[in-house]
Amino acid sequence: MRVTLRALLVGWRAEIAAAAEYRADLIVGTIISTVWLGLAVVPAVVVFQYVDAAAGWTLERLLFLQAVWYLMDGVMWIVIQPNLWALSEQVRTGDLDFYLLQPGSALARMSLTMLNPADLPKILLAAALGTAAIVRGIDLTPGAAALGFVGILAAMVLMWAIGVLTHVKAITAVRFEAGFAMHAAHNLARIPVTFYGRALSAVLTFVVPIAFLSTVPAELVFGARDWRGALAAIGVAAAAVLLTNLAWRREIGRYSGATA
Amino acid sequence: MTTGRRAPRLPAVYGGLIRAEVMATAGYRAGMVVGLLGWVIPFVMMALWRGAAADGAIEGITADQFTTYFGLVLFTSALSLNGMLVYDFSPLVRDGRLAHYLVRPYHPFHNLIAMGLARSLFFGPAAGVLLAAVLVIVGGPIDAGALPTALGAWLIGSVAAGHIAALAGTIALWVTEAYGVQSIVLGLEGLLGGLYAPVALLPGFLAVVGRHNPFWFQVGAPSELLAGIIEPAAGLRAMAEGLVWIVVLHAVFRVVWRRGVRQFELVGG
Repeated sequence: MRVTLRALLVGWRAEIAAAAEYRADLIVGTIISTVWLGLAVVPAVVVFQYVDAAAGWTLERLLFLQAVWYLMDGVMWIVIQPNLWALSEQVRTGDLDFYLLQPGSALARMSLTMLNPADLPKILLAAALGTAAIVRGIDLTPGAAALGFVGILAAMVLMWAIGVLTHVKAITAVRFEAGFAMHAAHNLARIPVTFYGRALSAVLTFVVPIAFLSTVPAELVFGARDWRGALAAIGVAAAAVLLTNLAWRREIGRYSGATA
Repeated sequence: MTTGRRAPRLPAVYGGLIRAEVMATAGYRAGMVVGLLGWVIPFVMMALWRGAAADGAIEGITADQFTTYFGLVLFTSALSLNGMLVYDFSPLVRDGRLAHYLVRPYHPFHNLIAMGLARSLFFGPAAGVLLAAVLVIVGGPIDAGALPTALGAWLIGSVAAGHIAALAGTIALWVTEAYGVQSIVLGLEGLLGGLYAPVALLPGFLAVVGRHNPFWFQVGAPSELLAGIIEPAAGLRAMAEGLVWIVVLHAVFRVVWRRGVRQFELVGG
């Protein structure tokens, strides 16, 4: 575990240092990320021009949820997408074998090594939007902030697990392409699951736990859920990691390296 | 070209290209299933606006009309070639394949259009079934009388918006990493086309710009017409404006293309 973490941190530091050399790319990345954040909040802002509350959500709460969603968007584009897009190519060229031969977790190295620093501003922009929403009208207690932090961390782990689960099949079926499923899951989390109606909301909470990507972390922050909500978020994240590990081992068990 | 053969006619070229692309697309059945999941944003917006309109119509638009509107946005978005024209041209420039396309007797963008049409032929029926299912299950009225105007607006809008998408694609002739800038074009398409809200609900000048741009003619206008949100007269106006847009955008595209190809440096050549 420690070996893997150290290797990842060294790699990320190098990626960020390399990106800092290309400041123009970072500036362009910041402008593009800002435009996308603006587009992401348009629906919420426009809806609340006409209503004071929708399905029990106020504008501030919906904006905070958008901040959590945008943070997940950042996680997806900064870490998950660059690594998992490369997976089928790594299988074809045999580069996956290098990860398998290195010490530590091959799954973590395969899915987390590369960074796309151009999207790093998304994290700051998400934090800025979340702060603005809180200042505008969310009563934040220290306890709720701590629970919300746990919920957001669990959501990031769940986002990673969804990314791996939708791509891992590429190890044995090189032309497999299910990136759409990851984007679909992520986009379903743009609004609170309660908006989907009772039946679909239940499915998106208990069957495909989309609710834990944005709705639950946001509700933890403004106190609509207590410690049991945070515990459920941890449980869902842990189950997702377990499932991801099982799927990874199953695929690796059937994998024959291109360089073998 | 000095091959001594007559250049093939464009319909024949399209026939061949589309046949080949449909077969290639049909090979990916799993891709079709997951592709359907990619149309999730109109569905999300439908849920949001239905939730907002649960206690009463918003600016005269009822919850059921929002269902029809976003169902049709999903359908028209699924048939749109814009994403392909914006993104799929860059790889041709990057790896030098554009050089091969330039010596063919038809414009390189015809290849991308044929690929897009093939994909639409493949995904269109599935999107139609999904639309019908949403309208029946969730409940959404269709103004069948507006169908001819909606079809006209959609066709003219598609050609005009396709020109903007192709112009965005040609950015790759000047900039190596054009993806980020190009993605903004598609983001604006979402906003001004009516993906996030019927454009009349957008604030201030966005509502005005929304009513007079090709993306709205392509996606928003047909959806609003069939949902009974706007009158057929507005659709006719959109068609007339769309034709003007096509003439102007085509002239601009020809100039940009000529200059861009001069910029193109053959990779490996």
